[in-house]
Amino acid sequence: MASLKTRLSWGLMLSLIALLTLQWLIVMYAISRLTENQLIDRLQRECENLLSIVDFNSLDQLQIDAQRMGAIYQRPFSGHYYTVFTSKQTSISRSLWDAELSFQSLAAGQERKLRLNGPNGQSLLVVLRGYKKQDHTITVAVAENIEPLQANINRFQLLYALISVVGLLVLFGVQRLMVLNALKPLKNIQVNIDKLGRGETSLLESEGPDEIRPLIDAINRLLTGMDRKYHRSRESLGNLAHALKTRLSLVNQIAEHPIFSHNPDIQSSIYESTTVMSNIIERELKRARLLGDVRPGRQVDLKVGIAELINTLRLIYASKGVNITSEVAINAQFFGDKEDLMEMLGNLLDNACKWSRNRVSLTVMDGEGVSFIIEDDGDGASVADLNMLTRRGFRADESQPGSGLGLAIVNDIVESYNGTLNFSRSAAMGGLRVEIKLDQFKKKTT
Amino acid sequence: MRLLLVEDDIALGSQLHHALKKAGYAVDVSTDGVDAEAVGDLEPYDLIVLDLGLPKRPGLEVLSNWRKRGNQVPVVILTARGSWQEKVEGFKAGADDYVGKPFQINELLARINAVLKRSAGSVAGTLKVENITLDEDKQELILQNDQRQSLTATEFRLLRYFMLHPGQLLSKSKLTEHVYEYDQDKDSNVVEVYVNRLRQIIGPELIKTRRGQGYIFGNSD
Repeated sequence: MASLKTRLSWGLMLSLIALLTLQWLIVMYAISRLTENQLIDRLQRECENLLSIVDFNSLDQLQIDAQRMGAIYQRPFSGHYYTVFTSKQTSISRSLWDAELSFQSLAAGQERKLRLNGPNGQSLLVVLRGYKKQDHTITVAVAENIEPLQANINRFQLLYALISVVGLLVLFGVQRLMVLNALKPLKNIQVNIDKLGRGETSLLESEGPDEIRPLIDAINRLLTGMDRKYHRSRESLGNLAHALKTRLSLVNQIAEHPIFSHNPDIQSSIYESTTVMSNIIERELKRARLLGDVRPGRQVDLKVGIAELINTLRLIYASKGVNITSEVAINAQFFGDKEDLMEMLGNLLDNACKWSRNRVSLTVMDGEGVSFIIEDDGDGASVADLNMLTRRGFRADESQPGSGLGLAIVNDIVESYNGTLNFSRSAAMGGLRVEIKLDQFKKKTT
Repeated sequence: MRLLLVEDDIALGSQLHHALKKAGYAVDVSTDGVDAEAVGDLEPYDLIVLDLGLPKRPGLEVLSNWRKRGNQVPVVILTARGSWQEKVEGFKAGADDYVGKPFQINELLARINAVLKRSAGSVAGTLKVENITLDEDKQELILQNDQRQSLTATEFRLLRYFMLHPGQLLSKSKLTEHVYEYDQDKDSNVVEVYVNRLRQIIGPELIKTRRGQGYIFGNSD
């Protein structure tokens, strides 16, 4: 479908051209009719004048006192001519000089108008009238060159056409501006929807003309409804997880019963199942949170978040006495969800504390985006195994001792930020070195 | 050792109650936030196991209210909401440890034990004072000559409380409060009977009587 703008423009342009052409034709017709009528009027009056000075002498000869008709009929080829004739005699104006205009004679009271070619290629309008004077039938013809008048009309015609074309162009321009202006709210809506996609806003701005506002309102109602549904399903997912985990705790407690504790195999397989179930619940809950979350990337205070996390870990590993140090580059910034950051660093630092002898360090560096490096001095897991695990993808039911679920969750978060997760051996501390690189400007929106 | 267990799930609560009692603790149970907050302030608990998703008042609010009023009772948070953000908030509110659901009872007991020892100022690990060692898993006493001596539940509770507070003057009523549950009959004369039974096992010198004041465990000079 052609664009709204083009369609509106074409429609308006064609109707404007039609209107202006019609107007031009009518005006031209009216003007030529008007001038011709006026001319004929004048020529008719000249006929009367001429008749009044026609006289017959005693010999019945036609006599005209040419002086009384004005100088214009004396100057040769002036464009104003007359001819008076009877059946026997003809008298012409001096201005005709050696040219001749011959007409049929008319009966008294008759009138004819005609056009014919005059001397010097002039174009003449002639009024012929038949009269009866002193018992003689005479025909009077008065002619005028209409070329100057025609030229005037032509000039006016051209000017009028020119003005019409300029007017058409101006109108067309104005109309285009109006269409563009009228469509601007649509452009705004598009920009707004893009923002919505990036999560920079939650509703469309409800500005715009009356025709478009209902559309915006309808979209906003839909968005609010979807948002509410999304929150409700997230909440119920959370409640489901909470309830299931509480019940799994109960299952664990029941497995303490002597019936099971006397069958350690059964007991440990119950424990294993509840652990796997709980891991699946935990991971899927967190994935759902990451998938649905397209809120704007707010800047998170890295220093405060990391300090809180390290204080917490110091309390958790108080009995082990792990020395956790951190270094945050001044310019390092993290845009995103604080919960994501805490979850990511919490899991990695927790693993590091678990595997370390007594030293763990966290370094945050700026640059293109931000990178987090967590190192420990423990023996840790095999670097190759861990790298393979990230490449192959984590599964929630993988029962890696201690680290499986945490790393799977970290991997999910890093993926959602389009980042990379890398394991290597720490040169400085001897244990595992985990590096996360996040490109801050490419957070996924789907 | 007297614990308060705050858990709104009745089934899990009663299982835990049973397991904690079996592990040698006197246990009171509370099932909502408002009740738990009041009881936790009134009774001299040695430790509180606190679920966060409580009816009437959220667990985190209960905990920070205790801390605001200067109630420093050790608290182990028990919750199904296991995000690090929530863990950090829990510790910030004043928790001493955090156990995520689902858990195995041994894990919870180990955490409770570690927190109790930390709050009593002793080093984590086995409880050893003077020449005697307490095996908390089996609720047995290991004497100098590696001879094992089993203890009744009340004997175990009382001895553990003594061993966690060595060199401190402990009144009969304080011992009663920490060894018995809320609704149990608290006759302070019973303490005398149990102290005498302990003296028969570990020897008379380790528990000294301060007439009219109470008892001191260990050589405080």
